[in-house]
Amino acid sequence: MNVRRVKAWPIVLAIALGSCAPADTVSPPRRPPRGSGADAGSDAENDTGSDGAGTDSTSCSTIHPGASPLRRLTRTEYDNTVRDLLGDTSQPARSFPTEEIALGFDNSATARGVTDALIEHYMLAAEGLAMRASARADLLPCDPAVAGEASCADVFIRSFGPNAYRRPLDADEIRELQTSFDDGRRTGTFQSGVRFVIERVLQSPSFLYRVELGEAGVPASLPAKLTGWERASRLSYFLWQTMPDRSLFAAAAAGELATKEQVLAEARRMLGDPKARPTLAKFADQWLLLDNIDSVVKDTVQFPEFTRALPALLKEETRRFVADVVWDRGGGLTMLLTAPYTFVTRETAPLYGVAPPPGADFVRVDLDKSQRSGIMTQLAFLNFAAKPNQTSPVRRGLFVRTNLMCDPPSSPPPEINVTVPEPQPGQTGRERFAAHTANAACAGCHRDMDPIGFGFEQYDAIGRFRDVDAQRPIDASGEVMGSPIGKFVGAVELARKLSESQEVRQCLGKQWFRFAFGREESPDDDCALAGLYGAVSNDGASIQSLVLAITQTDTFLYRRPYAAPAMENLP
Amino acid sequence: MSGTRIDRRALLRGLGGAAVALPLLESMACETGAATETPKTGSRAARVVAPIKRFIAILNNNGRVAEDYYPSGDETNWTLGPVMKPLEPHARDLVIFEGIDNKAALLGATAGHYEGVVSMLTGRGISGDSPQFGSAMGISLDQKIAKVIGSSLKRPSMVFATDAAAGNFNALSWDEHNQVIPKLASPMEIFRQLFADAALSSEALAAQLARRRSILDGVKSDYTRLLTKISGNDALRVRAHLDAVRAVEAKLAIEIACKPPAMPYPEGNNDDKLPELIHSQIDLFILALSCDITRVATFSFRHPGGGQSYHPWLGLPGDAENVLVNEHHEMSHDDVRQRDKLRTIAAWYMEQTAYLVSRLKATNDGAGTLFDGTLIFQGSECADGPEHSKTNMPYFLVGSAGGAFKTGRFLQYGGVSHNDLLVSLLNAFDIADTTFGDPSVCTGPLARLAG
Repeated sequence: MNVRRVKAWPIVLAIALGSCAPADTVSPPRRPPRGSGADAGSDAENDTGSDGAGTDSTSCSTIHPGASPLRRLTRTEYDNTVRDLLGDTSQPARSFPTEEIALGFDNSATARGVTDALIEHYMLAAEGLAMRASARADLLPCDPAVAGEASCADVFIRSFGPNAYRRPLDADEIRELQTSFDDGRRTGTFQSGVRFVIERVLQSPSFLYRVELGEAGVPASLPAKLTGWERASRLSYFLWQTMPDRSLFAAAAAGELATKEQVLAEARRMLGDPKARPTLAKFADQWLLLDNIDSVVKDTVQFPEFTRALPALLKEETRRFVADVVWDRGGGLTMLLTAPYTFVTRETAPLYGVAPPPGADFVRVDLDKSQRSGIMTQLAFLNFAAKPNQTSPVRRGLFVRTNLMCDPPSSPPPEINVTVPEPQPGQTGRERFAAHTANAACAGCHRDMDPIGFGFEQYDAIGRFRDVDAQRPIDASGEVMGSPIGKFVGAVELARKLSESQEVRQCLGKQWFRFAFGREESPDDDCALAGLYGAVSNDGASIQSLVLAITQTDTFLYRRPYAAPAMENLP
Repeated sequence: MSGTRIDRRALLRGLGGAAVALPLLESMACETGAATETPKTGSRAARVVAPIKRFIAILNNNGRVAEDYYPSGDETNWTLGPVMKPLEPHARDLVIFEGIDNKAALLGATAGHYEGVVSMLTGRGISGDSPQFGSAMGISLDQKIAKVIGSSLKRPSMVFATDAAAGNFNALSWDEHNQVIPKLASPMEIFRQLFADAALSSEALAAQLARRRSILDGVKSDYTRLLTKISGNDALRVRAHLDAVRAVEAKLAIEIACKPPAMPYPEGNNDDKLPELIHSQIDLFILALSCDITRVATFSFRHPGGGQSYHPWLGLPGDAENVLVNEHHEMSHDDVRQRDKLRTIAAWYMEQTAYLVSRLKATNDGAGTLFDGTLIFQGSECADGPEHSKTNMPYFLVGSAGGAFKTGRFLQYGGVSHNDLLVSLLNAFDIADTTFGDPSVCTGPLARLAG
């Protein structure tokens, strides 16, 4: 009876359903389990205090990249790449197995394993793509009837191969692809030969993976400078989620990605291209857990305003706001957390207490500055981090800790009842969750979440501002414990303090690092992180400058082999 | 108890390989080319002594109302509860358990539903690391069995779900690397996976095989050459990729000699066309079994937890004004007041199991039927809806994998771990392990089950 309205929630928020570790036990590690091997024995990234650097600057005078594990194309990257390589927009990767989510992002370098099922998908996708492509005469750089078949096949391999592998082919590779052409030609037409070549290339490691060997002549144990071709691919997959364009290939071929400045110039050009927008939107979606809004339902007896159409509108609202800040205003964390405007439709305007716009489209509106301040007071967050029939200080606090502070509490222990009390008449949200701090078994973790979430009690379970809860004035005082952010009153003040916190700014740098490199930061990345922290340490530092700063780090420009731990020697 | 017995091999020959009309094919299914030529262990030639063993697991949602679920009576003399009535025709093939707990579910993170789903076949808790929250921490039983009885088949296992995108809410099947096995929902896609090759002429099939072999030979050499240039974990991952290419290549030559039916299987959907979807999946699965394309499958019908699960065909539609009305998970939290509706829904899902069993029994397989060697393990992710408890789980079996257990029983225990049951299921497939899943909640095969 007491849990009738508890819904099961996806991923991160599921752990907020209640219960927690005893307060008097040893604190669990705050960070996710570390990667194996390389990072043993150092904890440097944990004490990057609030001064923005936290790393011995002398160690950054030498080249110091973190490990570069081999990365396989994500489904998005695969579809974009075949679009740009073959002009094929059928998006075959939509049917591939979904990516594993690690550290909040779906592009992990190491979490994504290969199964027989995936191999079969690769095979079938390559068959379809090759069949369609080989029927198109415009894909051939020559006419076999004019140039001669052998000569035309050779020209095709030498032009298509480097585009697909994103680098020049060596003599062995050209010979191999000629063999595939011959196999196809032997039993069919010239087009069959072309088809065989494309089908093989699309399943080869140089296409499916972003293979990086670094410049020749560097001992395997030392950091190696990435070749121009490898830097071109790093730029294009980071900023565009696809292969390099003609101009980027030309820069690589001309040796014009050899310096930091040259890389920066290309990165600036690429950020100005519309292809960069989906990438930044993808980061924001995953960072802000926006997909969580998709499955939100509310108790429609209490909240008849919350129709089934709302989740999609709330998601679009925050997406438009983020795009407006990042692209149209050149803003960053400060603006994301403090801007007192948003975008509403006639459906969502009433929830903000503003007049509905006349048309059906989104319209930018200014909000009451005493009530609203950026993404933390937008409806998407306030709704998914709440329950169907009541607010959830736990979920709201958990989001701040995990996604904005990079300091997630551990999961609740299994033996504790995860049910949350039904709201009782006359009881405030703060009172409902009093057990978390009264009970020592819960307080250990919940003191990190609930006191933050209490600061959001001025927003009801569907995000409307309110002064009164259970016939009493809201007590919106809160505290971010164990942090310089400290005490605050209300989400508007919290958002301002978060935006000024170096801890939160550095967390954004870390999140971008994880998204860019598909892995967790390691001590070898301290210099890279110091660079990113520098790019976010000022008020008004822009997201675009943070993105550009990533391309200037040693971790981006160099590579260090991804070492095998002793336990995992090759057979 | 089975349908008309026809020697379908002779009949197929008599038809000269022409496409067989569906109704006929449905009742008699088809055969593999391999079985006629190179009899091997477990093939039809050896069927006189033992039927082919097949394993199926089925997930139901949102627990049970104990009073409507459990039989009344003792071990051998019992009457089915109202929810289980649809299985009455198969009562002699049932083993219904009371007092088996899913202790493993409580060893990892808990969120109410995920852990009960994932642990049902893994016998382990779920990962609590928030990014991977809810993932398995060990291989699932179906995949372990498939490695033994399915590895030489075109599809070692099949994973059916009515919602392929429900994440861990309906993720029963996991590989040894804790990766979820992709779920199949669309009958069109299932049909393609089963019969794409069979639709080709023998010339086209030979050409496809030659092309794929040529391409994959080249692909393999590309990975092999890369391995000479890289080391460490990168090399491990490339080697794993190469191994998977080899595994896929090894299956290319397995020919399915079935003449595929046309595509009369309704797509259905996970909403109001769920009955059509489930029947299509079962019908295609029966064809896959009778063609010996696979011998292992899991089914997740709908998914547990909050997720707008309505049953309009039972007079329990969703209400646009209040999405909580008639919502299965929502009602399961209020199982006293909603008991009648919950009983109607639960019984309907048992009808789907009964349909599967009837189809298995009606489909000839050598001297017997597909059902003879089949073992079905069915359950829900939690025991009761209001508390999401994992105590006294609604687990039951249909069939005995060719006589591994004595069936027609109601077995009552005093709180044993379901890992012990999983060990017994392994043993039924001639896998002699004495433990499965988390060893801290496993004591060996389930007592008394072997009879």
